[in-house]
Amino acid sequence: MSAPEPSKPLTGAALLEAVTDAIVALHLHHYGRAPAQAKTYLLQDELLACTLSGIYTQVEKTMIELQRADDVHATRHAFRDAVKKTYIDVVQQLTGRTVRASISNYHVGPDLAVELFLLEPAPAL
Amino acid sequence: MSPQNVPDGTGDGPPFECHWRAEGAGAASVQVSGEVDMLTAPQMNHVLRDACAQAPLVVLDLSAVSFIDSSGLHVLVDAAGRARESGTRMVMIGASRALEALLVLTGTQHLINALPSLSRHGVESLLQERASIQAPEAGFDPLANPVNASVLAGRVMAISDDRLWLHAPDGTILRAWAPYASGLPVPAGEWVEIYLDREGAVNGWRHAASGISINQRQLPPGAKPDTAAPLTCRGSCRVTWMAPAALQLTEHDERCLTCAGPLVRA
Repeated sequence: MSAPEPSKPLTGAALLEAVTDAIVALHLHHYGRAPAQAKTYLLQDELLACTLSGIYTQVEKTMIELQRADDVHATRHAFRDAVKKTYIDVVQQLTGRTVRASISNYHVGPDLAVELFLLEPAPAL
Repeated sequence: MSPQNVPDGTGDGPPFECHWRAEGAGAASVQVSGEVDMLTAPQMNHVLRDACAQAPLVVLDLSAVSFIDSSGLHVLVDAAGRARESGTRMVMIGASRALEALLVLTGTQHLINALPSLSRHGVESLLQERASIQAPEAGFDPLANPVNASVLAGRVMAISDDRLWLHAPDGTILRAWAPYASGLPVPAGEWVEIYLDREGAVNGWRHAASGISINQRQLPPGAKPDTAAPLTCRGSCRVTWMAPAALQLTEHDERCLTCAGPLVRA
């Protein structure tokens, strides 16, 4: 599994698609399943947000049914923290911009995750 | 104050809670639950001030908020403005439809970074988007075959370890069968037509530019054949389909996915 490495930073729809593909590929690699849905937005040219739904594995779904969603999210946060460099590197490579900050957020009912990246301003042309 | 804005700290909803914590890389999250009203909004304001002072990126999660009144809205708008001025970015997620409506009603939605939610229903929303692609060629009418409940466009994703991954315009991700021996049969970024059944399962897909056409009906769940046999349509479209379960298709008298014509072994 891999996403193609662009020769130069992407912008516009190509960037949003590439980020979606990369984040979905990472999710598939780490959790063994692709999300049911994924979409990436760029807010005010500095906030890159990839929204995923249908993310949970069967084990996690069972834990959530057993009222253990907090444990599921704690594990997801711990894992995401351990691999945050991978996510940041991917976004920096695709955008050509430094990631100032990033964070993940997980939900149940609806089953959602958000990967957020705050980018340094684009270099002046 | 209108009746619906009367603080109701003793109501049936969950108790108000608001706290923040550092998370991710240089970021913070603020979790709010319960009712945000004139009694509790100051506490939310205090927490938002603390979080925004500590991190350049703050996620404000309102998914557990059961009620928010104008004092809560004022705190949100004020906090977003303060954050922006100080170089911090606050992103609101999980807002209820009532709060989204309140933001629109008060003309303040542009002041707050809010993430749109994906559809909760995934494939169901796809099925409602019937025939998002019009048949481009004479003789092609995928909905003539009753096994097709929906036809849509899908972008080939750059995920390649397990057949073909497709991305629909609403964000839905679909996995389709493809002869994968020599890599992706269609380049990443290309668009294909996808034919879905009533359950949202992929019947097949077609890349018009290259003519690659896959009919994956009758493929047993979990089966991962590497090859497919050709089936030619004797109807109006004359498409030759690559079918990983060709024998089962002919045994079940399945019809062509793009014109409902009869299929014969090529």
